[in-house]
Amino acid sequence: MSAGKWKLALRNLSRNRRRNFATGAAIATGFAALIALGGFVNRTENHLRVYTVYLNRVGHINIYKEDGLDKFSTKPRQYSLDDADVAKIKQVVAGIDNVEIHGGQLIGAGIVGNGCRTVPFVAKGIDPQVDLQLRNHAEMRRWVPKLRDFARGSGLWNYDDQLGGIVMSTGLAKILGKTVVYDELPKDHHPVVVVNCAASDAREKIGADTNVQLVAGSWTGMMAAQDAEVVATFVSAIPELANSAVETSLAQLQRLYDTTSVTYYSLWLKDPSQLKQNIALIKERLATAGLRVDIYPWMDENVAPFYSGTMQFVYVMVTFITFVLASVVILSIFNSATMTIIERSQEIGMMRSLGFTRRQIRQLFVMEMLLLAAFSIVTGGIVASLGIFLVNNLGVTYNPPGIVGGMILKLVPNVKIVVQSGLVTLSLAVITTLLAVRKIVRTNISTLLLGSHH
Amino acid sequence: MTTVTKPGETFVELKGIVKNYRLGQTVVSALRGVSLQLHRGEFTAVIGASGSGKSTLLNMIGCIDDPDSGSIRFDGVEVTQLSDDAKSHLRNQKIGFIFQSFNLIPVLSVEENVELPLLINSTISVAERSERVASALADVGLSAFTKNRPDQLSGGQRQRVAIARALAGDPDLVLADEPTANLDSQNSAKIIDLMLELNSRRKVTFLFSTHDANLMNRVSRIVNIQDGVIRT
Repeated sequence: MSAGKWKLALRNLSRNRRRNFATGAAIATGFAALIALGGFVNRTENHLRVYTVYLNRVGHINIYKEDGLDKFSTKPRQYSLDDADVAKIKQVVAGIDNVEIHGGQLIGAGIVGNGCRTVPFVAKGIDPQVDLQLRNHAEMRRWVPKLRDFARGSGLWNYDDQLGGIVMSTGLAKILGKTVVYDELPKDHHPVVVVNCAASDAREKIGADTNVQLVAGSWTGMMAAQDAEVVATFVSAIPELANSAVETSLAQLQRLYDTTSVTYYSLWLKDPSQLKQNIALIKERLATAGLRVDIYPWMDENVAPFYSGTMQFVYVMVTFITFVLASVVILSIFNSATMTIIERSQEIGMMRSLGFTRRQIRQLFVMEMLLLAAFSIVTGGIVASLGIFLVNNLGVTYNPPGIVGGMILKLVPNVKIVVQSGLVTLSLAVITTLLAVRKIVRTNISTLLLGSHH
Repeated sequence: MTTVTKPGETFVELKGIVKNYRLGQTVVSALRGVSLQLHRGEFTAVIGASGSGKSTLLNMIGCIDDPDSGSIRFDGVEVTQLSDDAKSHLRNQKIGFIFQSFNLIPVLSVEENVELPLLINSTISVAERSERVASALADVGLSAFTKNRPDQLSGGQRQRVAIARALAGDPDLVLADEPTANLDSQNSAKIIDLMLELNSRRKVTFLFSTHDANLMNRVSRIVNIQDGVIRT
């Protein structure tokens, strides 16, 4: 029975080819657009996620002293994790297989000078070996291959801690007039002392040297200063940090602030889908260990406001576009199905006379639309593949709000997106067709036979 | 309850059928208390002027329209009480339809058109379906046209396809609403001859409406309907 009905549905598609072509084109375009949109969201989400979690080092799980997130900046000693706290955390972490990388991080602010000019900085200190693992992570290679590279120089893990190496944002390096990094210095380079900042060669001398001075108020209430060498510069994608970001080793920043504590302790997971379970487990175990902490997942707007805000914007935008797309597809299908029904009302009456039930008539129209949608989806898939290939190879750069230097437009759909887009398209086709045939199947057969349904 | 009737016995019975149609503000009485019995194996013509109620009467018997009041029993079953699905099932299993304008599906071949009512009959196997289609087409003399599309056939041939489609389900009753109205007199005579032959050979009950006075002397029974009332 079904084979015969499918055959009939297929044959019916050969009627009104122009109309079916138009409807099919609308479905194919809608499907292709859904895949492209999904690919855009997928790429943007993964780009921002990896940027946030690995490059900006907001771990999948971030453990703060209770109220530490809000109060650390005003009372760092009271709201940081000391050695004993860190030891307890490490003990708990050791028992969780899903933790891939972990380490404490210290946040601090101060001023940085080149001997002639000082500007504020915001520094983040982390164990260089943890930094190395994060920068070489497979996720980084996949989603932010360009951003993981330094603009100049190489990572802190390549230098002895005694050197006092720091990495700074390109914006900050520019403000401080630093045009070289440590590895680019000549072998016979001697520290530069600029006596007269107004001298004509002062700028050149400063630019040819990597030494800077970090000055900050220590946690013990003293002023502290350190010499540091710029070993690398990086492009900060976040505007707020573009002209002020400094990265140091954890030990170096701890020395500057005269502490052995950390602001928070971050964990990076092997399988991030276990995030909730892992947080619950850590909470429970730390509570048992008597440690009062606040735990934040990486996407929490308090620890990753840039990711959270940007993705909310993207989702709102994409929802709106999807709504418009769906409306166009729905109206196109509804229009086509309605016209077909009007034309075939007498035929529907004949089929009802022969014993077709209302459900079977609905089924026939749905089968017809499913076939058209299936053809269209295959076509749309091919169009989407070609379009995405083209877009990804054009290297178009766009400037989303809040991202310095812009992003290269790339569309990266995955199997889930394609399947979901296909299901959405098919569902729209079926539901719209059912709505269109709803009235006619209830119409009196004798009225249908007269062909005067409408 | 279904009872199987023998040749000559009443198997369709209408009692006091009333059907009114509303056309804007006007109510048109199509049938005014019609009572009729159909006997198995009969070849009956329903005659009457345009608008007399012939088609409405056929629609009532064919379960494709519901009366406002009255009773219709088909093989002992009160069809006015049946659900829409049950009436569809009854039409598929027991009634064949032939329409004035043939109503063939243009994208299907002759044999596929004939097969159409069998597609929804789950009791018939694929092999039996093919057999029945071949037999019905042979009965109407169209075995050589099985793969043709309707638009490749003459009017008379198309109506023969429609007759084959009506017969393929092996119905108890074939209803034909003005089956010769779209045909010339020669083809009309051939169609009536064919229906008579099938009535005689297959013992299928035929009930058809017609205007054609030439056909009236060739049928065993005439039902004359005037203004929604049966006169003879």
